[in-house]
Amino acid sequence: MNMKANHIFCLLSSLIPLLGVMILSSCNKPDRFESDVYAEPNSSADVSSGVGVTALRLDGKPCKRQIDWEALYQSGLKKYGIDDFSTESLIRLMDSEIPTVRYFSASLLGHRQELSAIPRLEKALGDELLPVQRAATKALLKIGNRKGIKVLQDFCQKASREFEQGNHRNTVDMSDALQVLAEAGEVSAIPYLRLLVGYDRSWGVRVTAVRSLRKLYEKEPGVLADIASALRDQHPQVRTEAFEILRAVYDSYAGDKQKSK
Amino acid sequence: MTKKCIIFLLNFSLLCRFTAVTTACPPPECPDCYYLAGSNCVPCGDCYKCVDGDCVACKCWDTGTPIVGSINVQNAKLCEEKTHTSSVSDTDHWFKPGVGEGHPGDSLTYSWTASDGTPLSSNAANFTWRAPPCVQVVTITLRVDDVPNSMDDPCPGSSRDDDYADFQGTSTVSLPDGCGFCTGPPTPPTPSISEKDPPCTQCTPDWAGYFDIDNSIVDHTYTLKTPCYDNCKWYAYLDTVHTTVDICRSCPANPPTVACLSEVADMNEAEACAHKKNFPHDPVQWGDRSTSNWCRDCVVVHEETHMNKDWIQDSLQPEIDAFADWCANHPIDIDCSVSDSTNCASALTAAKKAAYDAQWADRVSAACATYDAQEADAQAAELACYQEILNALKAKCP
Repeated sequence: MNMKANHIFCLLSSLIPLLGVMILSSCNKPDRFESDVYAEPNSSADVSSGVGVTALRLDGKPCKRQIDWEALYQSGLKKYGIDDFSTESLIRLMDSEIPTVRYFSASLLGHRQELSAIPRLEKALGDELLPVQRAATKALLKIGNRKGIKVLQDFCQKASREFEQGNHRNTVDMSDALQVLAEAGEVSAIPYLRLLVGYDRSWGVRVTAVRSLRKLYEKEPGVLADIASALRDQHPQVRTEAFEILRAVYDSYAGDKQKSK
Repeated sequence: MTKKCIIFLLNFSLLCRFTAVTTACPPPECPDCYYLAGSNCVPCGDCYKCVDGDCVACKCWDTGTPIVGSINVQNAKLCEEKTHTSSVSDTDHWFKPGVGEGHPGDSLTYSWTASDGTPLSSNAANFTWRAPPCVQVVTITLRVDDVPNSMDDPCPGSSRDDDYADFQGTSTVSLPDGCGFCTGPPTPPTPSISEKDPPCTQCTPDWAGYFDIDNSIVDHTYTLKTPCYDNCKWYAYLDTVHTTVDICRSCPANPPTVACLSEVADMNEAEACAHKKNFPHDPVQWGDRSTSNWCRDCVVVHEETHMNKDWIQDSLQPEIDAFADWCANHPIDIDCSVSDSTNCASALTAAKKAAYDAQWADRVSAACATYDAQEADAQAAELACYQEILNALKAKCP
C-alpha cells in the first residue's frame, strides 16, 4: 500500500466506526509501516475481523495489523493442491466434492466481494454441510446480500427445538449460525443465544454466545442482563468475557456521559 | 380250580347245547379279532392288529428316547457373519412280536431364531446369521421336531411322535479387535504450539518483538482419537490440536538487556542502588521503560502473553472446546450394510473426515476472526516483569 492509499485508509478508519475500532498504529507513523498495512474491505456486514500481527514497538505504542484473510483462505485451498485462485476458478471450486474446498472458496469469494459469484453463493446456501452454508451466508453478507439470513434463522429454529429436547447434534452449528446472525445485526438471534448461554456442555459455546449477545447490545440493550448472568458461569473464561464486555459497555456509557457534560 | 371248572362247563354247555356229545369239549373258536389265550378268547393284544379277523403281529412304535442333542453357538464381532451348528437326533423304537425290536432314527425339522441380528440362511442343522451392530448377548434358539409320518407296519394307536425340543445358546457380540468402549468425552485438549522458523522475519526497525497468528490456516491442525464404541455408535473424539505461531521474542531493534533478574542477582548493593535510579516510579509505569533499564526477558513476557492469552486462551481454546463438543455430538452410526462402519479402524471414512475438516476450518477461521490482541494484558505482564526487577533491586537497596 502506498502512502496515499494509506492516508485514504486512515480517513476511512475515522469515518467508519466499525473499522475505526481497528485504528492501526501505522496511521501515526506511515513512513514506518506503509508497506505493512493491509486491511479487510470495509463493510458493515464484515464478519471477518481479527488481528494478525501485534508488535511491541520501542515507543510503547501498540502496532496491530489485521489478518491477511486472502492468504489464510488460499492456504486452505493450497492444501488440496489448488493454485488457481481466480474468481472463475473459485466459482468452479464451489462444486468440489470436498467440503473444505467449497468452504474456503466461498470464504475467499466473499472476502473479495465478488459480485459475479452471487448466484453460486446463493446456491451454496443449500449446501449439505453447515459450515459451507455459513461461509456462503457470510460471503453474501459482505456483498450486501442477506438471502442467507433466512436460511440460518430456519436452521436455528430447528436446532433450538432439538436443543430443548436434549439433542445437541446441531448446537455448535447453531452457535456458529447465531454468530453470523448477530454480526449481521439480527435481533432474531437473541432468544436462541439465551439458550446457548446456559449450554453446560461447552464453555466455548457459552463464550461465543456472550460475544454474540454483545454484538446486539446496541439494538437490544436488554441483552446486558443475559451477559450479566454469565458472570455466575462455572467457567472462569466465560465469567471474564462477560465482565470485560460489561466493563467496556460501562466505560463507553461513562465516556458518553462525560462528553455530554 | 372249582371256579375254572364251572366256567369251562358253562361254556361247554353253551357250545354243546344242541349236541348230545358227552365227550371232552374241543377247543373253543374265538370270534374275529380275538385269539385264544389258553382256553380263553381275548382281543388281539398289544402289537397285534386284526387282519381278516385274525390277530397278526405288527410293529408297536413308540417315541423311544426324546429328541436330544445340542447346538454350537458362535460368538461374533459387530455385524460379523457366523454359522451356528447343531447336532440333534431322535431315536424311536418299535417292537414286533415274533420279530424283535428296532431303534430307527427319525427325520427332523429345524427352526432357528435369534433374539437379534439378521438370519441369512438356514440349512437344517446349520444357521448362518449376521450379528447385530450392537454389543450384547444374543440368544439363539433352535426348535427341532420330528416327522412322525414314516412308520412302517404300525400297530393301531402306535405313535413315534416326539414332543418338539428347544435348544438355546448365547452368542456374545463384541467389539472388533483393537476397538474399545468410550469412557465419556475426554477433556478438550490444550493445543501444542510450534513456532515459525526462522523467526523474526517480519521485524521492522522499531519493533522490539511481535506475535502473529500464522497466515496459513493449514498450520492449525487437529487429530481425532480412534473411534470408541458407545450404544451402537462410534465416537471420534477430538484428540490433539496443534497451532503454529509466528512469534519473535527479540527483533534486531530490541535494545540490549541492561539488567534482568539474573543480572540483579549478581549486583552488589551499590550497583543495585545505582540501577534503581533508572526506575522513576514505583510501581513501575509503562512510560518508565527505557534503554537504561531495558530487559529483553520482559519483551519475551509481553509477546508470550499475546500468544498464550490472546491467541490460545481467548481465541483458539473456546473454538477447540466447541469443536470437541461438535465431535462428541456427531457419532458414526454402525450400519451392517456399510462394511467400513463396522470397525473402529475404518469407521471414519474419508467422506466423514471431510465433514470434520470443514467444521475445523470454520473453527479456525472463527478463532482468527475473534483474535484481538489485548495490549493491556501484554503490557501489564511486561510491567509486572519490570516490577519484579525493581523489587529485587529494592531488596538489595532498601
